[in-house]
Amino acid sequence: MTERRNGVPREIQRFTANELAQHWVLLITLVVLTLTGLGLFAGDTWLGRTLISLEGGIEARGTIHRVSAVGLMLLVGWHFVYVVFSERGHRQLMEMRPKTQDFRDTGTLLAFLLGRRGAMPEFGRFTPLQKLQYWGAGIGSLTMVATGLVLWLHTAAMMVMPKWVFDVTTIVHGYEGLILFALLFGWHLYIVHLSPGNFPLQSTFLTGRISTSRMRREHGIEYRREFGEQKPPAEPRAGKGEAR
Amino acid sequence: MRAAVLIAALSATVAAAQQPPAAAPAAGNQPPVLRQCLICHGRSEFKKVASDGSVRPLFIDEGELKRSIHARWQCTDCHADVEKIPHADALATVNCQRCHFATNPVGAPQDVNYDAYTKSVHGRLRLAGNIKAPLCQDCHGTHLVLKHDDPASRVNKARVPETCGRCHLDVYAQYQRSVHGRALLGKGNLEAPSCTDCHGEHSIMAVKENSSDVAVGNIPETCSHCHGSVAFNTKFNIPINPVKTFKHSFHGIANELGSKRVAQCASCHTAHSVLPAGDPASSVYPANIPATCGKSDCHEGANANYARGHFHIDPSSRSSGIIYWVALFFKVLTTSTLIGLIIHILMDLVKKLRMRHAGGHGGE
Repeated sequence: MTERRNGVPREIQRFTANELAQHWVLLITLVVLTLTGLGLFAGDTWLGRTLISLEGGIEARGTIHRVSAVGLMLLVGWHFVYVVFSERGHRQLMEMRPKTQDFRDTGTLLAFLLGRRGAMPEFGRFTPLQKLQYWGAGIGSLTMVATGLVLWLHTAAMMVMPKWVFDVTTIVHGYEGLILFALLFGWHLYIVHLSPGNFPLQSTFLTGRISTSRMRREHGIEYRREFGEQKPPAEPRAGKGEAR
Repeated sequence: MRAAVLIAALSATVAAAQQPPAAAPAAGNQPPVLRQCLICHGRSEFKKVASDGSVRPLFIDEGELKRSIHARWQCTDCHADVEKIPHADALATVNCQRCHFATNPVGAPQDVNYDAYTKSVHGRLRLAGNIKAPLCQDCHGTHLVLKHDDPASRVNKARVPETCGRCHLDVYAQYQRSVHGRALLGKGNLEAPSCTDCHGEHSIMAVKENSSDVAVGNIPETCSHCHGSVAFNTKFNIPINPVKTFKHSFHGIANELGSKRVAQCASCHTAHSVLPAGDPASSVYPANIPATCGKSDCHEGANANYARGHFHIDPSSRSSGIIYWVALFFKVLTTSTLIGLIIHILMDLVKKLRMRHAGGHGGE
């Protein structure tokens, strides 16, 4: 189907439809949860009051937040089943495991960015920064779900825990949400879409496809495992491919 | 009304009463009509016994009349329907607006209060025909009207609770035992609130009306008139800033945004029985917290756990204990995460733009 050079196709499928769907659910629920959550987090400022009034008032804000939270919890369950019981999902999880090499690679990458090293380190299927984003979003979501359930079921929760534990939970939920927001809608967005070379939109999250030339550049180890030392065809179109 | 009227020495007064007031002999600075009225009303035993046995004293204390701000007026200036003696059994209710209207020629004070009164819950009920609702004279007094800054005035701050309490008995009893009532009535502390400081004076509205100063949504604002001031709270040994911490809390934010379901000040502290948390009779005394939080429609089933922690938490104050430290940890974590992410983004941006300028392959 795709044009080949030395047996290397121009593009390959990096993510399955199932994985893209999970990304969409996460994207939508986290955007809604962040907007409705930030409204309350900053509820005594103009920003919070504006957000809450746009969301239809304090009661509607809560309902929207909890409906989205149910969506996120279903996704967490879906993802758990996917990475534990499906062969493809389990392989992805194994690739995501943090390794000591990741820490060395991160150091090399920082040295490269600072101009102290001439070449980027070579990465496998997932780069150390991608692993950090995955585990950050994963652990962050689990924390948010756990603390959020306590806040949702506050009357019952406070029957079994002292008030101060509940108050600590409230603090953790608020700040953890803020960190997750910065991680995904600041850092992740920059790395994937806003950085030079990817700007304004990098389409892997829509199609699941990556150009082999980008794959060779950003996931060199994975590329060689797949295609050996063969060179890939030229980049198909500007702005297509996958993030470093 | 059929009533047996016991009038002592009535016959002796008739002739005098029928003379025109201007011709009556004035004794001292007493208004001429007063002399005639006091022939009957100046007697302490003068009273009316109704057919149901109830007794209505009709004695008027001349000393009160003289101390009243209205001392210079004649009885008939207010009781305008008395034209001869003996007068009719049932006289019309005195209407203060005979003098107290805008542009009146006698200089009687008139401001927006009368309008405010007619729109108030008292005024509306009275105008609708409920004679239990108060008129001006029910609060300001009848034969002894004094300016509000006179300590003997019924509308003087320290006497307002008693005045309102004549009708609102239960509330008066609760208020007297509260920290506010003890301070004002017991210690004479005029910084403590009287009824009118929270409810308003002429413009009192029913609690369920949104325009009431003590409507659910307006209570925090009303309490903040005093408790919003750090100096005030410090002076009365209130260790936290109750208004600021409330506004930061979920209850405060939801209340501010119009939720009627969340707790505001009076939900936990009560309206009229406010007491310090250290007082075992207080609704916010630790042992009473489960009952206070566990009200129906609030946190039904609340137990002792609800009292295990601080209230009115200010996460940025060390007095909040573990909350302070956890909040501090997360502030540091959030800030350092943000700084780290921004540094990485800047490093990446600079490197890629440089490589692009150098014709490298950092970009596309």
